[in-house]
Amino acid sequence: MKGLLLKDWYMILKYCRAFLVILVIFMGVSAVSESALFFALYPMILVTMVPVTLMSYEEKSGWNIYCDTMPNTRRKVVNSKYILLLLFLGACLLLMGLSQLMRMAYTNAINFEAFWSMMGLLAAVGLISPCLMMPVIFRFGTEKGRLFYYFLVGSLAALFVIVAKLAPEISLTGVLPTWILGAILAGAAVLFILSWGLSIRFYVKREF
Amino acid sequence: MSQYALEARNLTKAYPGFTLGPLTLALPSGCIMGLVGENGAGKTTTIKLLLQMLRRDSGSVALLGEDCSSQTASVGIKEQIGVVLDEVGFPECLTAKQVNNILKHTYTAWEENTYFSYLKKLSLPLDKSFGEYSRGMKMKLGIASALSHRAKLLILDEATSGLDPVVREEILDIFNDFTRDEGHSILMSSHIVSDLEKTCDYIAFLHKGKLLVCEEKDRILEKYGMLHCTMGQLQKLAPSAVLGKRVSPYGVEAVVERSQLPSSMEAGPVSLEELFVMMVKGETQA
Repeated sequence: MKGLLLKDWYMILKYCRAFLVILVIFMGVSAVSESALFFALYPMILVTMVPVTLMSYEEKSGWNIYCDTMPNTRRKVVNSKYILLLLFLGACLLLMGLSQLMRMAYTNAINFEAFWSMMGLLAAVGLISPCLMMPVIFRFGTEKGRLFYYFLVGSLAALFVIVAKLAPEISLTGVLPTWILGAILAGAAVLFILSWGLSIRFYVKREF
Repeated sequence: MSQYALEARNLTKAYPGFTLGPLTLALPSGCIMGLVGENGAGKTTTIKLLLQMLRRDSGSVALLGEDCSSQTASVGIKEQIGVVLDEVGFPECLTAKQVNNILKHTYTAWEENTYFSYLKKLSLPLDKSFGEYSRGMKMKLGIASALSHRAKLLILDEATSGLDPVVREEILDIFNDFTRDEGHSILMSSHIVSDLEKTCDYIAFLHKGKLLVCEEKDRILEKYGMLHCTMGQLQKLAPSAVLGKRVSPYGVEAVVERSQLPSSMEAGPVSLEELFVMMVKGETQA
């Protein structure tokens, strides 16, 4: 596992440096902007897609096949990607949390309800795309994963429009009612666990 | 130590339009076996089945005396196996130094000194990224990696294809060095039969998913010969004696089983390449 994570780290340094720069810039902007949620959501979506981006590079180089000749179980390979996802989610939440606290302190408008509401929403949104895509990629490879991604983006956009029409009282930029936030976080947690389990199941059975 | 480094029994795998096997082969410890066959004969499928990268439909596989019935069981065995596939799949951004850092956390018996001495011997740069390597350099790095964790069995799939003769020779020398230790064995697939003829003790010949021959190389060369004769003389031989033939206006060249020739006829030596080409073509002419 350490070897797999180290390899991921080397790849991140090479291929995902731009993501880290964007994260820092957006963190700064979200600390001073009125549209804090947008500037926090964008890098969150970008950064949590790092494991998916790496899987695409790995497939291109044939690493997924080569790795299977080494003493790594397929379960370990899947675990390394989900651990990476958690690490990036955690790091992004930490940075965004800090920037939001700074913004609140600067504007003298400290509101922990709004803060936790935003953090919860960020965590859930950060998990949706990778958790839906990773089982597809582990089962079918990155090409089909990419097609699924287009479908996913379209579906999510449609979902937001429908929710906005049906329940205009729900404002993502304000404080979410506790039950809605709880439901979103529980849903994200279930999605994450299901996604991890499905990815292991699919990848163990995959033939190269 | 097991008598066999690799043993496959009645291994089968069916795809639409192609079935591999049933395939039974055994590689004695300390030997090199060449898996030869035309493109699409099933060499890579065989190797992937041996490594549990594909699920077999039936049969059994034992590597280094241990049964590989599940992926988890095969992980321990993979510690002792070095594999080089036709494409060495390191991510393109990695350098040879970084590969060392990754593999020392992957193999419990990783030997940095051995790895770096192979890099030096093979003139591989330490800080150049893998994507900038030539095909020969990539293959050399794959081989250095496969040989640096005290592997007892090397499995090589077309590891010398696409390389120039100088690099091929260099790599074949390394394989020969590796098998000086009698506990070390190699299974190598290739369609460059001349490489296998130089290096291997055993030859397994796959054709359309079936194993036509699996014997000691010297026995194969003893058993079969090249007969130059007329068509009339050839027709007098038992059909089972003739494995393949090439007819020209000057006569017939046929690969024959020496034991089935009448005492009045004598077959000359045949190279493995001629033997296999004739066996494949002979079948298509029949």
